[in-house]
Amino acid sequence: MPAGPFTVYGTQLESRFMIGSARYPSPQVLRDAIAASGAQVVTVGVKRMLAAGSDNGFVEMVRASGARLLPNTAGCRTAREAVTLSRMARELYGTPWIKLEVIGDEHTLQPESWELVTAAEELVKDGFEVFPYCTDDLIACQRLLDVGCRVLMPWGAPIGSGQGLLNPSALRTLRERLPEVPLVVDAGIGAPSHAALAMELGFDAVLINSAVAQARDPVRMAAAFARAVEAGRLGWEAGVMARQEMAVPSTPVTGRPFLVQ
Amino acid sequence: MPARALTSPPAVTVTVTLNGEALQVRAGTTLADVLAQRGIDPKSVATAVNAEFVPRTARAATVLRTNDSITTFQAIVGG
Repeated sequence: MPAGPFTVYGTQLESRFMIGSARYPSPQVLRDAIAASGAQVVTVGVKRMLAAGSDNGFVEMVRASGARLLPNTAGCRTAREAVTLSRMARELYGTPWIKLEVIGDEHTLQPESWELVTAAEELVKDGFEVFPYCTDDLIACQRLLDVGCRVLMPWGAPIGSGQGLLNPSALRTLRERLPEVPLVVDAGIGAPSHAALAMELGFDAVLINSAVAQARDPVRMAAAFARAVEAGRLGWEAGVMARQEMAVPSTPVTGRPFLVQ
Repeated sequence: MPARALTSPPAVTVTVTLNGEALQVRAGTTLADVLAQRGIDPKSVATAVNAEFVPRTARAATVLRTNDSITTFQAIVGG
């Protein structure tokens, strides 16, 4: 019984596990990890060339996977930079999808919400389908929706930190207040259990890179995350039971088993 | 006064940079020309001149001027 699909910008996706393509030990491991993940969306990047050179075939491996490409604007600090890089990404990858990153702090790589909204507004007007990497701030998320974003990608924890979901309460609030918006936890997930929790909170998908690429066995870890994402989603769809403060007997016994004291 | 010999005008060059490397190119050289001269596959890169994106379709009409800074960008892995 697979979990149901979800739709972003008119594209139906059966897999709720989006995977990043960076930091793998080899193109072959990347290829096998994508296959093991079952991901239908793979993130890629754009880099200024300092010298002529190849990337050792990593990007070709991603293209050959057949997954939809989701280019990012990693490294951008201003809306202007991010808009320019987005236009380059659209030309290089031939897709209107853009994972919009505008970073405001070097140490936490926290999204800069104001620049993010400015960039998103300009890109939406230019025909892009924007996937903003954002904080879990409800108002920032609402502003992104106001300017035309149709999916949100709030962080779970700082990029690459593997800390898991630092603020489940804020994520729960987003889910509750934005019930119709596709929500994807992006960044900070370190273990399959973190991904399962995100899905149990009702998020539509997760995007994971470092936790897979940096595992001792990335291919096996991709398979582990695939199962965790599926399990968490099924759990959400099935409806997790309400918490109780005290024990509630589960076995329907009739009083005490022995009447004799 | 004898007529002056007809001579071709001196070649005028302009100095530009490509990814930080200084280049002398003939006046009138376009962005598309530079990519071709340097053996860069035009479909493998995105380009900017002075930090402004120049779409692939506009490269042949983009005539370079002195001190123009050309930057090329390539597809890479990403998270």
